[in-house]
Order: sequence, then C-alpha cells, then structure tokens
Amino acid sequence: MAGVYISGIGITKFGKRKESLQTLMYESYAQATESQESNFDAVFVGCMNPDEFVGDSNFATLIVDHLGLYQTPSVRIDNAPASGSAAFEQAYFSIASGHYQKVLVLAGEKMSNLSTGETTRILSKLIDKYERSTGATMPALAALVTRRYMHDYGLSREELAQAAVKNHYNGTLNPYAQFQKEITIDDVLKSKMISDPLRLYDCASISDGACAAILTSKKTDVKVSGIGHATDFLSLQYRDSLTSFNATKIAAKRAYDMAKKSPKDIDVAEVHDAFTILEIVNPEDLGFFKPGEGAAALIDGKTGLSGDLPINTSGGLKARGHPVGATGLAQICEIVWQLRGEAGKRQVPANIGLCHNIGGFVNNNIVTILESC
Amino acid sequence: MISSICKCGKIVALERKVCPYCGKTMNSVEHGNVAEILTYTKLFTVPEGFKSPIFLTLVKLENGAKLLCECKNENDLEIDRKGKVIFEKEKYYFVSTKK
Repeated sequence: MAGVYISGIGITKFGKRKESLQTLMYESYAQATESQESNFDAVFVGCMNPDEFVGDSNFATLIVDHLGLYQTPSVRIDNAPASGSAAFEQAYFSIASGHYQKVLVLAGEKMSNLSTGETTRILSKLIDKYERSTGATMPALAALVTRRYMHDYGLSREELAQAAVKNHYNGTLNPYAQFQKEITIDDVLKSKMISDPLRLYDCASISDGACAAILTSKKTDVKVSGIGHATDFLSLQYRDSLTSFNATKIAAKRAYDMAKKSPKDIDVAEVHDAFTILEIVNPEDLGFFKPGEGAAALIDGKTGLSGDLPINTSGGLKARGHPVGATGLAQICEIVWQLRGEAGKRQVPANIGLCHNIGGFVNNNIVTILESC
Repeated sequence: MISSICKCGKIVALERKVCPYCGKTMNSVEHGNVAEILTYTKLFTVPEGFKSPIFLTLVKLENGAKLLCECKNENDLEIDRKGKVIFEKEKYYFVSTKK
C-alpha cells in the first residue's frame, strides 16, 4: 500500500456564521491550498445532511462547481456526525490503493439557520425508529448512559462538569473555536436542564463551520499511520454495556494494529465529546485509562494541556463547536497543527496523535492515527 | 409482551425478523411483563411534536432483553426499581409494582 501524507489543512472559525455552506468550504479550501491554484484527482466531501440543514442536495457537484474544480470526480459522504472522518478515510484509501496521487477532503455543516426544535428533530433521526418514537433525543440517550455510569462508578455531577470546564479553557486558546470564554463548574451546574442529569453546558453546540485537508502520496511532515472503523447496533437496547462502547474499542484496536502503535504511544488526542460523559468514557474505550478511571484522569489533570495525555486541546466539540459533518476533519486539523508545532498557545509536545470521531449515538466510529515524519 | 429470539441465543425486545447479532431469522415469543429499571432520564428539551417533560427509562425485561419506554410516574425513576411494562395508546410504559 502506498504511504499517505497530509499537506495543506484549513478550517473556518466555528459558530453562528452568516455565509453559505459552500462559502465556508471555500474559506477552508483557500487556507489549505494557500490560495494557490491546485489540481486534484478527486474531491471527497463529508457533510451529514445538506438536504435538510441548508436545502441543497447533489452537494458534491455543487461544491466542485463552486470551487472551480469542475470535471474533478467528487462524492459526498454522509456518515452521520462521523462524515468528516469518513470522507478522510475514503480519501485515504483512494491514495493508498495507488489510484489517486493527490485528493482534496472537505467537510462541513451549516446548522444554525434552523430553530433548535427543528435541529433536534433532524439530529434525532440518527436514532433507531422505535427508540425515536418514545421521544428520545441524542442528549436523552447520553443522559441514560451518564446516569448508569454515575451509578456504577460513583461519578459526581461536579466531576462531570469538569470536562466542560477543561474544554472551554482550551477553547479560549483556539482562535477557530466557537466559544472563547472560560466557564466554571457552577456555570455548568446552573445551566438549563436538557435531559437530567445533562445540562446545556454538558452538550456540544449547534454550529456552522468547514474544514479542508489535502492528502497526497508525496512525503510530507505528517503521515496517516492508521485508520480503524467499526459499527455497533443502531439501537441502545441491543448494546451489551451502557458505560462503554464497542464501536470505539474495535475501531481503536484496528487503528492501533494498522499503525503498529498502542495507547501508550499516543501523545495527544481529539475525542468526540458531544456530551461531557463521552470525554470520560471515550478515553477509557480508547485504552488510555481503565474502565471507571476516566474521571480521575480528568480531575487529576492528566488530560489537561500540561498532562501526560492532553485531550481535546482544540476545545473539543464542546468549545470548538460541533457542525456535525465538519467535526471529524476539524479533529484531524488540530492534530496536524499539534504535530507540526503550529498550535500556538495550546501547543503540547507531540509526535503521534489520535482522532476519535463518532457517528450516530456512538455506533459508527472512526479512529485515525497521525504521526510526524 | 413480545420479544424475538434467535438460535444464537440472543433475545431482543419487540418483533424483529433478522437477528442483529448474527443475521439469522428470529422467532417471536410471548412472555410476561416483569421489568426492572437499568437507567433513566427526565427529558426536558423534546423534539417537535412531543410534550415536555418525558420520563424515559431503559428497562431489563424478565427474559433479559432491554426496552426503552416511558415511565408513568416520575417518582418511580430509580435504578433497580422493579415493576412491569404495560402497552397503552400505542406506547410502552414502565410502572412500578412497589408502592
């Protein structure tokens, strides 16, 4: 298999943006190409639901037209909130196979022009139809997991809030993050109740944003060393565990095996903290900490910027923002900056980084390992 | 109460033709409605078309299968609470048997 490397990357500021989705993608594309004219063998577009969020379908064609890349093969990849990493994964395979030499990955979503009720309804379609019929939402499923985790491992409400506090602090150091403000545990505990015990500040925001990455067969300073992907049951009812997710464990094992790495080798990680409980469970499932020890690692500062394994240096989904289709590629951009020493005030020492992106309610997960070279 | 059972030994709540664990054909079985709360939430921000709040619970049925349903009474929301699942107005509800 041919080696696959990352050259340019680009990202827009996340948050409520007035520009169209294609304009946001253009902004990230211009940054990735440094506004130089570029030819690509193909364009992979990660975007979950442009049909409902912005009223456009055939988005892969729309975007190559908008970017002036007509005639270039283009495909849109919808893999729920793991669309960004899924587009990256397919782009990776297209070069690893030897078929293409240089491809563009774009990922984005524009969600803020709909009401919260409409957005909640669209996001709830990620859930199994029967479970959805009960009124269950994504925060409700996360709340069910949180309640059980608190029961089994003695996690306190205050400890859980620390995940949001840490990621908001990291967000203040990331100029592209939606939220640039520190918050306190008290702020989290006083925020609006969404689905008990989860409050507003436990949940990633509705956001707009886009990212770009150029993958190439030519050696650069960042190599894609491993990609693992796994699914789990759509329905929560079929899962064996309520406090651990198989799709993460299996995807991680596949990525570690491919990269010939172990959890101990990882210097920095971006994990999918759509809800605060996931900042605690994901690092356990990725093999960084034992089951039930994720909260202690967070509280002890192990996952903070000066800890042994900084997690979500970008601010994570919580503070960077979560335009669903963009998130997976935003994680990759952050790890590339960290590996290149270009992460500014949030820079940590890192040669090997990991990204963990979740599709659906933790049932279509992709783990990507990047390495300096 | 109806569950689906597979030759592979797995049982899932409600009717389902293909086993989600192994892909083989499942058979429907009727059984009692005894249940126990595994976890729960009070959902306040509900999707369009639903009335807030919704008391949601994931229960373990007597055959081991899990079912997501509403809980009739907010005061019954407690992990390990025992009760039964009833079907009313096209929906499943958990009701506690403990006074």
